[in-house]
Amino acid sequence: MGAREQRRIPRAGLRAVARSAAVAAFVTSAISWRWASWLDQAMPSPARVSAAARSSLHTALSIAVFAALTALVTWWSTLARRRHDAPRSGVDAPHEGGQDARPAAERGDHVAPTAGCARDDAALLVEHHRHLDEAIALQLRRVVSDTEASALTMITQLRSLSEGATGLLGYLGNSDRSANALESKIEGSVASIVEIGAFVQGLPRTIREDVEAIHAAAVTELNGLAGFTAIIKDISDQTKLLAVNTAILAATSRGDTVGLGVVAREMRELSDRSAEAATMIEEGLQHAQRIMRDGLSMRSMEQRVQEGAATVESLRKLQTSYEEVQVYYRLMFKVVMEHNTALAHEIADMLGQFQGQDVMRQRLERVAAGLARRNDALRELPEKFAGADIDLSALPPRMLDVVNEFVDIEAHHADASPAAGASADAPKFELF
Amino acid sequence: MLKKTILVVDDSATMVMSVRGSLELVGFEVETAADGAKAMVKLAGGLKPDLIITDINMPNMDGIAFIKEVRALRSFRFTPILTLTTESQAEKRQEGKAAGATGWMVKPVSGADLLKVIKQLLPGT
Repeated sequence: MGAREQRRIPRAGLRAVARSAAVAAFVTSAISWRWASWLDQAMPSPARVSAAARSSLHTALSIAVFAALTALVTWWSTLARRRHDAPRSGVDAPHEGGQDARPAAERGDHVAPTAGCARDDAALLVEHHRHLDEAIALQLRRVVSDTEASALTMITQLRSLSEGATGLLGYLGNSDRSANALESKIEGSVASIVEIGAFVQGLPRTIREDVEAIHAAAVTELNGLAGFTAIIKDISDQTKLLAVNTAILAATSRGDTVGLGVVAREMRELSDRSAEAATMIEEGLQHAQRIMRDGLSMRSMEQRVQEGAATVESLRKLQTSYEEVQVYYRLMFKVVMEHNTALAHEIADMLGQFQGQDVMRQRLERVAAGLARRNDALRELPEKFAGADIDLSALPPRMLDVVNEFVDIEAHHADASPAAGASADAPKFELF
Repeated sequence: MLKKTILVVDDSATMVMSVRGSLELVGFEVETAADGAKAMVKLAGGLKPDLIITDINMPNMDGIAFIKEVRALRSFRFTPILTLTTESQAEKRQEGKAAGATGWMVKPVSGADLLKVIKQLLPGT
């Protein structure tokens, strides 16, 4: 509304003037009876004026007083009415649906436009300015709060990562030492296993060859001895025959038959004893042959079997040890993989926290843009006071636009700040 | 098995580092671009991403215009495009959907949630 339009008295103003005139008339008439005595006292005696002149003067004074009182009362009532009618700001105005003590900028409400004189306009301008500052301060507080929360979260996650890494290193260190010790044992065992394995593999052949060799040698020797028994038997038979012939000679001879008889008898005993010895030897040889065929090989085999069983037992123990080693390493790798997986997820979440910095940056940029627009609006203020006619009527609407624009822009962006309290209505993610 | 490639388009270096780190940690190949125009240069140069993640508010070419440009290319008509932005209004979401976006995510999003959504868009990862 321009200055010319502002000076135009509205219809309501005419009624105010009429009321003021009535009041002024009452007051003027109430005090006019005193003027006559004042005039008489004021006028000097020689220049006493005529009654008509005095009356005219009286009338003029009455009119002047009446006009002055009317103007005074009109101005005062108009001022009082404007102060009464000046609407309250959007901050103090009650809202529908209950009490909401938050500033208008925080609620996202628009500030209603107002009109008024220059002083009122300046007051409104300051009020809008204050609203914008409140909105800016709110965002800046959230920036500080959210940045601090993100930093604390990152620190907590880093500590968790550090503890996990330390534990993992401990596991790896222990397993490394155990692995080195096991490796030494395993290396020694492997050589033994190879040797034992070759021995066991060659065992049946060795046994068979030894048995066959021994048997063959024994059979050869026994066969040789058996030939000796045949010779002994033959000698015995010949001796016996010789003894018989000697006895016959002793019976038929005229000479020393006693000596011959003794010889015959001795020879016969020798023959018997030889035959008996040959028989014993033969039986002994047969027995030895039986033993060689059965008993010797059995003893050798049993010994070999015992040795083989001991070897198998050693191998079984080694196999058990290897299985234990495998189980241990399998468990260790499982633990390592679980740790690594948990570590990867923690790091991924931690990296996601950095996104908050980008959100803060954008928020600060919007705040800076709002401040810039405000400053542009206020830049015209000094020019308004420089001229003779102070007209600030354009400034409050412009500042109002700055506030509303800032609030509108903020409403387009998600309020994901933990300081905001309640969660946003829109979901965090949506697949179309 | 070949690694899946994801193109991340954002003018914020922090965002690019954050998303890139989260994705490379779980085995994705990641290419980046600072705005829609630079991303289009990469796509025209032979890059064939399996998924595109883009911001909305960017200089030179914003996210909506970028999505429209990508959908106009025959090779990328069915490539999943996920927006990652601070914009949350329903009107903006509808605008993105109309342009051809496959999904809408609001910053900040945790690494776990991002991977969860990507697994829905890229089965088998």
